[in-house]
Amino acid sequence: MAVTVKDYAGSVKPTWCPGCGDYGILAAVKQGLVQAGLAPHQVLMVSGIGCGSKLPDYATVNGFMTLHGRPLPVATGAKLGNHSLKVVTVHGDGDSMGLGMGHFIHTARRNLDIVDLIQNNQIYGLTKGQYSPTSDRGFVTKTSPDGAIEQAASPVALALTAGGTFVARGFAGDVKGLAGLIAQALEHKGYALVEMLQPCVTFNRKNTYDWYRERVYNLQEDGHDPSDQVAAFAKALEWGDRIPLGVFYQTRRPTYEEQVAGLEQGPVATRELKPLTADEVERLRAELG
Amino acid sequence: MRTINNMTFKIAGAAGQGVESSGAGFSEALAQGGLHIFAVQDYMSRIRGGLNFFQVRVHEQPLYAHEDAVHILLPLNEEALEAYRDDVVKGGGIIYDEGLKVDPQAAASRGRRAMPVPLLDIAKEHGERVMANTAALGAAAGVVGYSYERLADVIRKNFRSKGDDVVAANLRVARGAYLYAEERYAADFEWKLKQVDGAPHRYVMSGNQALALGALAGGCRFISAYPMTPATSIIEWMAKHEHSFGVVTKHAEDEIAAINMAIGANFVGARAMTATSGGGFALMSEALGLAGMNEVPLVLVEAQRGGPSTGLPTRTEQSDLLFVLHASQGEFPRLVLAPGTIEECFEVGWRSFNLAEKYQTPVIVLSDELLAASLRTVEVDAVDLHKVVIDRGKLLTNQELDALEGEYKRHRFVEDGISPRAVPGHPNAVYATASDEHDEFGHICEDQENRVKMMQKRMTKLETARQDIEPPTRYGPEEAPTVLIGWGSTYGVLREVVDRLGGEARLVHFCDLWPFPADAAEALQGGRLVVVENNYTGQFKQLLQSETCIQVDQVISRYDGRPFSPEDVLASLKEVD
Amino acid sequence: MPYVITELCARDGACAEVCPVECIVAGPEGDAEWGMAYFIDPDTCIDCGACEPECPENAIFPDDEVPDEYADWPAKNAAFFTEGPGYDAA
Repeated sequence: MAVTVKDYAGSVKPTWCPGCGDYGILAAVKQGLVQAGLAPHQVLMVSGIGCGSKLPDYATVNGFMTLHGRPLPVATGAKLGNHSLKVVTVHGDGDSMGLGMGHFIHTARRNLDIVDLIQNNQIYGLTKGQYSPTSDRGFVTKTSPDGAIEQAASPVALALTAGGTFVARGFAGDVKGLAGLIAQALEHKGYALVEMLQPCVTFNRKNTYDWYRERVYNLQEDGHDPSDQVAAFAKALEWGDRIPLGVFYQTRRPTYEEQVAGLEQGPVATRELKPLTADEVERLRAELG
Repeated sequence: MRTINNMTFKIAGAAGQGVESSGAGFSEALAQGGLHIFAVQDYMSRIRGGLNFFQVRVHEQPLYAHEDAVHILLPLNEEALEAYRDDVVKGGGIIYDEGLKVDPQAAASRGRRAMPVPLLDIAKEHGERVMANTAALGAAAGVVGYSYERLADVIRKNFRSKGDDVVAANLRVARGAYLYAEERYAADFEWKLKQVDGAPHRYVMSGNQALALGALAGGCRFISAYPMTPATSIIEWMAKHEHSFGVVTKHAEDEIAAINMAIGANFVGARAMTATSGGGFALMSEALGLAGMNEVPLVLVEAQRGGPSTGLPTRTEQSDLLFVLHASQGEFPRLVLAPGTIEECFEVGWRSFNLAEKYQTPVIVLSDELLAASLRTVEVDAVDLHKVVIDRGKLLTNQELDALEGEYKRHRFVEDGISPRAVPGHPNAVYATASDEHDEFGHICEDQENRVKMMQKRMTKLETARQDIEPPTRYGPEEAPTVLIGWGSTYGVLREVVDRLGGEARLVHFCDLWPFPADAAEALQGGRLVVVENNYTGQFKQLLQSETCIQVDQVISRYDGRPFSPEDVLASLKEVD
Repeated sequence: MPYVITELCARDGACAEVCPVECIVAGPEGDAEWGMAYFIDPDTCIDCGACEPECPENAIFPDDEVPDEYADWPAKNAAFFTEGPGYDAA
């Protein structure tokens, strides 16, 4: 029996504001999972803390809503503990580019076979409207009353620099397009980033649906070659009047799990856990001298 | 007048001179001869220079502690001789290279015997300069008349990988120094070592090694950690067993990643641990609460060292007790164990995983630099790998999962607080759980009634866990007037003090610390209560008093980063008298 | 579960303005079959609820809360996009 979007339907009504980009993202995530042929029990969604991180609560899927900034290491441990599970992280821009920036870089470096979904609304929503590491320079909020002073962080550019092997960006207002990117990310072997631009209808009056629609364009339609890393870097720096969406870069390198010595025997969690065999005991005794 | 099989050697020098490797090799040679050893190391937080020492005590009977008295000092440089000369007892010997700029009279002051040996020359003549340490050990063995063959065995084993020529050269050097020292200094030297024939084979182990071995035997196949003295050797030991035992070891980017990775791995059903020291644990405190809140098993080893902040990185202390007991915001159940011996480290190594999975909550193992790094001879039976039990508590089996009906409740309300546990992967048990307060399904829930029930559920697990808490260990005659109270690594020194006091004292030692043993008060009846601990504020005394309302009569503290010696404790006890 | 516009619709159009995925389309003005209302594409609607409070006539409902008297409107919204002009009318 084929999986449908209905299999992922949750029982809890989302607490997101009407019009929130997370609704589009939720729809796209479900559609992407279905397109990739995955059933809820095969997936583990690990989120952080924030409006968007409540996503697993609103779907029927394995989920672990963890700590602000920490879904990536939890997902890493989960993947290394049972790499037969499809592990997907879901977190916002504050979570991934603020508190969790260090983990983000290291996870991309590792090329762990996970899908990293970053909900980028360029603001902190759940804590009510402070600026974010991805806010545009000059963005005025309660913690940046004179406008943000720092250069905005770019998940796409940072992932490319760190060695991410699938780097893409989508838009919550284009559910079909985003679903397609998520499906591709799920099928990719290795670290796959999908940065998802989304409006925060309550607190971010600058980066609205209209603001995005005036600027976004599709890389693939524009003739970009995703195997060209140098071109991808150039596109990653593009922001402002033109914002590229689609697959920036894709390549295949050995995943972290493919190289971990401890996984030669298969997933840790699915091995039968039993006391040491006589042979193993002898080996350890010999080592002790 | 001869003292047979009861002495201490101290090898000292600058970092980089081979103090540790020489000491470890010598300890092995002694153990191979059927003798018991207890060795402590003292090293500085640097790679070259400074002053380090390796002190190995030898006896025919089992040893549990080091002592301050030194009978042979082997200083590898002048500074070491200066610094440790006064540790040598009257009649004891100082073996040093003839070439050191040392005033023999000063070395020999207070009845000590200066024993210069041309170590460098012997090394150069029979091998190479770098073998001077081997010469020193050869000389030491010669002075005490210990079997040259035992030393030779260790040399052959340790240098085998460097080739036959190197082995042969080291043997010549050791033999040359042995004969030289024997000829000049052995005749009237009081302390002698004799092999014990027919002694059973024993292991020489450190606390970290025993912990890691216990964990592996107990089914741990995942460790994530960030290097931090004195816990680093745990992940390094596990890393050596990656291929042979299928252990996933991850040197994470920081301690926050380390603990969260271990939590993720446990969440999906692997047995996973992390290991750190105080500073790393401080970083881990938020995630500790995540494990407690979401009922994820976790084993966390905290090997204490001198604090606060960077403190004394290579030295020992017991100053994180209250921190570990209370760390993280809010309230959730945790178990805390503080093994006291190498053997106990092995047992706690596997027992902690059973407790973590049974109660679906974090278990913290409190060790310290002394226990982590000291070496002792242990009986083979004491680390019986066949006796290890694996108990996964209410982890649902495949059959049980197949039989599940309806929507699975990960945090189902149950009388003993422990819900049946499914790990992700089975179609009948699909669930998402939040670190926010949640309902039985794991959904975010701010409802007051649910919150009260959930809090009670989690905390009830602590009460249920009391059934698995061991009472404190008792040693010594029950009628003894003084009761020495210790926890963690002080077991050894206090046991020795009890022996030396011959009936005047007894020991009550705590390994299981939280939930606090209910029968603790009973063990402490009748006698003058003296808590002995390596910290400034008397943390265990505070815990004991708050849990039992018993007033302690004296606290013996040490917070200079060095472990207690029997002499210390005895002197402190006398002071009060 | 998509949202549904019912016959209470007075062609105000505020709903279409706020829809983040642009799935609300006005029926062609004056058209006998589709001219009386706007329609929500159930396949694209993301359940965000932004449209509902915008309607001055309270004509919009989540599809599991549509009152009985408008029971054929969920199907009518869907039909606009499969049989009717759909996005071509936009």
